[in-house]
Amino acid sequence: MLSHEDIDRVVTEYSPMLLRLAASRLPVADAEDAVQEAFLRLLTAAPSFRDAGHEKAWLIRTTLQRSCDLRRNAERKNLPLEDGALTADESPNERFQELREAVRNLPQKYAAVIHLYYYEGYSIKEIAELLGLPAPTVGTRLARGRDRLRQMLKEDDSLAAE
Amino acid sequence: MQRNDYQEAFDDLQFSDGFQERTAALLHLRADELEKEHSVIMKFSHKKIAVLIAACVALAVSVSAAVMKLSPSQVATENGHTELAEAFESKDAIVINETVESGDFAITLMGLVSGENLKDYTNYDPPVEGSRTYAVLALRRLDGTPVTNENYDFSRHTMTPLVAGCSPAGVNDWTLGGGACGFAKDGIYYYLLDTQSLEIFADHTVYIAFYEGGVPNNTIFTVADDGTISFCDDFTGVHALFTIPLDPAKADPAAVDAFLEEFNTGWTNERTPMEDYDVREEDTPDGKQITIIPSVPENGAPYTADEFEQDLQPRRDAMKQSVERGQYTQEYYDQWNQHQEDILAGLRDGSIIGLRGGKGYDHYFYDVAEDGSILPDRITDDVPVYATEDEFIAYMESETELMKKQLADGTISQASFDKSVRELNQYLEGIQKGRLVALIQPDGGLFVGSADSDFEYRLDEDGNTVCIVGVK
Repeated sequence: MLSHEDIDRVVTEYSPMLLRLAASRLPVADAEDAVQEAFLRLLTAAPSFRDAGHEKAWLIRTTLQRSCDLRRNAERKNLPLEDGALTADESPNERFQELREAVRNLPQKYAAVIHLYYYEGYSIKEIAELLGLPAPTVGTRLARGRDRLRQMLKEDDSLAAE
Repeated sequence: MQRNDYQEAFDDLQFSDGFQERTAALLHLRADELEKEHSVIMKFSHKKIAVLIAACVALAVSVSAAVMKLSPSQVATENGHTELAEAFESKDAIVINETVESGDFAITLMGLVSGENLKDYTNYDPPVEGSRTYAVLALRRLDGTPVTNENYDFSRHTMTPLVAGCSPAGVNDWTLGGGACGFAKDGIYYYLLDTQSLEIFADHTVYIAFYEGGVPNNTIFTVADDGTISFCDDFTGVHALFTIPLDPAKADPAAVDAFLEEFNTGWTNERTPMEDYDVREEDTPDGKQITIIPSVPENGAPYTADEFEQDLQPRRDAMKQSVERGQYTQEYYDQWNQHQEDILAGLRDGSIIGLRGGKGYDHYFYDVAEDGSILPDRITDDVPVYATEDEFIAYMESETELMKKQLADGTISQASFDKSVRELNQYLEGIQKGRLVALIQPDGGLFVGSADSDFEYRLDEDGNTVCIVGVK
């Protein structure tokens, strides 16, 4: 069972990262729900972690799982996510909004890799370990995700490879 | 798009004030509630604990039994299996009614029964022989939302036996010649598992596992030193693990040894670290192709010809069983087997290099150029691959006409005809809903797979099914 001190530690340490990860799939309000539920699951499931990396990976996968569930639930109830995309909490910067919407419109398997690569700066190997995938699969998803983003954003130039 | 642009776009997000404080407060509250629940139970004496637990079990059993609208016998009847339905009503049936809550679901293993000729396999050619085990599992949502065929993805979940002391990768649905069918009724989703008899393993701990995922691997399961199997701590998908009571007197150690000799594989809980792979993109002049070129590390983990040949035989045997069950045609098996022989020959003469995929995934094979460099896989985007809905409907109609003739001349039974028609309609529904893809082979064979798979299949120029391994 997590102590109160542990709770404060994980919330402080991981909230910013998990919120943005969830926001790559969901509007802000839903993203906050997904992250809270991931933390609640950490509390109730009480898994044993080998190290901090293991803990972080668990939270990332749980947040992605929950984000996917919330998104599916909304789609089943015919709630268009795009209607909730711009809330009072989101900046009206059109360029940023366009990019975020494009990422949210990617299939889950591409969006997760794109976000972990571009925002968190993980390598392909690190993403593969986080998500439990073969590295070549991660590489392919990254390439295909970038291509789809390029099409959606209608850019002429190739995405910068890093 | 530059990395900076991406980061700025997501840094620009503004979350609600006090999110961290509210979240921490919520978790503190929940932690305190969990602590109280634990301490209340501990205050009872041992005798009272036993009574309390017994009462809870009885309540859980009665509740789960009350919620389930169908009995295992009725589930079998829904699938058109009269003998199996009767078997579930017999004294040989084992009533379990154990429920596990996971994620949004309550998963109940209702019961199982073993025996011969309980499903109509007699018109298979050759007929499926031997004793088989059947188990019924039910799934319902904890919030009461009905589970329907539309809102539940059958293809994303697995129900499989496992045996303590044996590799989950070696003893499971796939090697036991098992499979499950499912359907939703009155808001509950029911699974009917059909597998080689598990009674031969009755002197082991035998499990029925249900989880979100596919073939067992070490990102899903962990095996303790004493052979006990459990889900990995970091496995976040919906999951439940049940042990099933079997009569040890029915164990058959010799049969188990024979099975393990053929199918058992090694197991490690260690998730093999991989060398990093750089991926380069290359747009061809016509803009229609994207080449994914994984860089092969200089000291990658090779997959040798001897290892490939050793792993090939159990795969051949599994494929032969699939042919015997009518899942694949003999022609498809011959094509697949020839492809394996070609790979083996290439591995032996050095024209192909094999590399381990790691973490229980398939291995990778690359052609080797004369100068020893590795040639990349080339994936095209504009090749029509899977059957359209209209093409699949046309296929269904022709197959149904063929089966009607077979029914008329006694080649197949009414039950087999009904089952095949039901499966084709399920496939069509999956295709219409975007959950499944179908590839129709020139010889009439049908491949149906999950639309969400990492693997892609193509028909090459000769109409052979070519699997692009591990990349999509």
